Amino acid sequence: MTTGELRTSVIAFCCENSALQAVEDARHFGMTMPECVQTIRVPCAGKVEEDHILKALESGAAGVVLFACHTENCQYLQGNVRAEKRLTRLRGLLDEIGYPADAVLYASAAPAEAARAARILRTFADDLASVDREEAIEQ
Amino acid sequence: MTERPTGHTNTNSNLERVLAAGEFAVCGELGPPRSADAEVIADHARHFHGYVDAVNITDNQTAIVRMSSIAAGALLREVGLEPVIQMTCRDRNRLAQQADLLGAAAMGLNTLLCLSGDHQVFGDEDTARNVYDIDSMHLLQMVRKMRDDRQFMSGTDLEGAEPRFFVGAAANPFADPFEFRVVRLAKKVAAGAEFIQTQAVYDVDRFARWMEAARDMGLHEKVSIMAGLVPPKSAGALRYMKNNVSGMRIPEELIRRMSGAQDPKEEGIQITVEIIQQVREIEGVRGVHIMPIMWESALPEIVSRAGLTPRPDLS
Amino acid sequence: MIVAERKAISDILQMIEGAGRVLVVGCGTCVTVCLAGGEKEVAVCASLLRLQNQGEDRDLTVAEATIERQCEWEFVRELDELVADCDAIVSLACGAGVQTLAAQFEDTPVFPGLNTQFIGIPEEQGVWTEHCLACGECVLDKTGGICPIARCAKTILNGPCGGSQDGKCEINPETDCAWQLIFDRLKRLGRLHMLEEIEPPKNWSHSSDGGPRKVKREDMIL
Repeated sequence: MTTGELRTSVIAFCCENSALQAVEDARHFGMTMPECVQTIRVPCAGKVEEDHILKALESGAAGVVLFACHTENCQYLQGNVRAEKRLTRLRGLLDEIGYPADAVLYASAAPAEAARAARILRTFADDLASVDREEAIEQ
Repeated sequence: MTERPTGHTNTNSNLERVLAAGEFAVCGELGPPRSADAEVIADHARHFHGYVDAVNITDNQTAIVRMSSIAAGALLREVGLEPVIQMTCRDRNRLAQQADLLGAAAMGLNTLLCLSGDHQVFGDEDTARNVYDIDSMHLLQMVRKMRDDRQFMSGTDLEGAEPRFFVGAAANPFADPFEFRVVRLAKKVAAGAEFIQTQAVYDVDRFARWMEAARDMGLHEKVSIMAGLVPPKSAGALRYMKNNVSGMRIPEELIRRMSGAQDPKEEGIQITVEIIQQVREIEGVRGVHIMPIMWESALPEIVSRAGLTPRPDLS
Repeated sequence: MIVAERKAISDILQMIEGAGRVLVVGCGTCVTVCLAGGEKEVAVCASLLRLQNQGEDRDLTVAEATIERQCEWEFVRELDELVADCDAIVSLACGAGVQTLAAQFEDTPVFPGLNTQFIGIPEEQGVWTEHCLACGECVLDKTGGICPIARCAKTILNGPCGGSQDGKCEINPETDCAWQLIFDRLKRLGRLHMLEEIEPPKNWSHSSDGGPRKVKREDMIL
């Protein structure tokens, strides 16, 4: 991957009970997806810690998606709730250092929602690639 | 805890004389100015002449910086009124408190109310460090020790004249836990309180129950209990107190009565007069402490209508 | 445990200004448990410092280390080599840990990454409350195991004051009135009579008012 590719790359932490299946299906069925999405399988979105997401950004990802189960669908009951709260807190931390907080996104998808997952990733990647944002990071 | 013989006084306090004479006492209250203007004291004081036996001077009330209660009290004394100096434990440690007690007594002040003090978070200096070296119970003990044993809190002897204060404390019949409120009153009496001023009475039933419990312990004969009153200016003022002042109990019925009134101020005066008449009927209540917050001009009317004029001249 | 909270990253950035090699040090004891200065928080802090530096001109490297306890020399000495390679240390420990590092590494500036809050306990997951003020003369025997020094806003020894209503403290409706708790507890234990006695004034010379304190165990001193 060159630096240019990294700028538009997205790392998606995907819950293996839901979103992972949706993203894999989207790829399998050839739905329009951003080119550079790297999925990371996690047992639950609630298992992803702040430092994992920060490490992803540090490694060069332009954005990170934390893909969880829909509300009240978590196999571990509260994993998605915690994931969302953690992401909100992380956005606050990014704000503190002047880093664009919209580089991280919390989203949810059911295993059968391949189209939804693809749409979320497309929109996110498009937003990341927008000129304004590039400038924001440069500044 | 010993009963004081009627008529006996320990100090030059006018309030003590009035209570010792068995008269139903009346205290007013004055908040010192947020400035160095001495005239403000005399200006506010004009409403009190002839209507009260003494005037409480608050000590940085609600934790807002004001002229010191001792200085304002000395100014009030110059215009012929007796101040009840309020002293809290919030802003001064035992060193400063004892120093100020000596100073206040040297300036001729002789009536003191010992308080914990409102916490500083309520005021405009909410980044201040609080003190609370001792609590109001200890302050009472300290004042009595200086007066009666001629000793500082440390046990060291005073080297001359002792400060002779008629000493009082506050009690809140409306705070929780209710069953402990009278026990705490007994502790304050044991600590040396000679008079008690209560939180504002709006809930007369609860106040009566508290007085009944006090009588059961014989406290009404050991300490002069004065009922506190805050004349309500409007229904909004009552509602504000109900929602924002902890340890206040205001019946909804009273708020409805105020909001339905054509002339709220007149109604507020009338309500206050009625409460005075009701508490006066309760055995053991020896006086009232009227706190006309920002409304000193209402006091003469209230005292007159309650039939508490003229005030006894016992000087 | 000692409960702490992280400082704003902007404060930490200001402290380390001009330093090229920063070492962020966590502590594996109290502040790990209260989620303020353990290994994870060190990773987050270090990441944020590095991310913030992206696109800046200056060269910044941020190293991470977490030791068992920052308030004990044998653990602090484990950092010798790492400290030799850095120009500034950010300590994510309580004030005692920060000062132990500062004493051990005399030639390296040590900055606090946390605000030490209090000695407390977890009230529920994610919520900690103050329970001890380290006053040096415990009164819990007289107050049903509930501390009025740490938990009453006015440190009143003969409470409750007039601001106690519905079990709450007047300064904050979220704060329990310590004296209501004391009353309830002693009532439950059948020891309410204990509250009839006036508790004498506190001897504050045993607390920090008596100056910095020292505890000695003669038999342990070699």
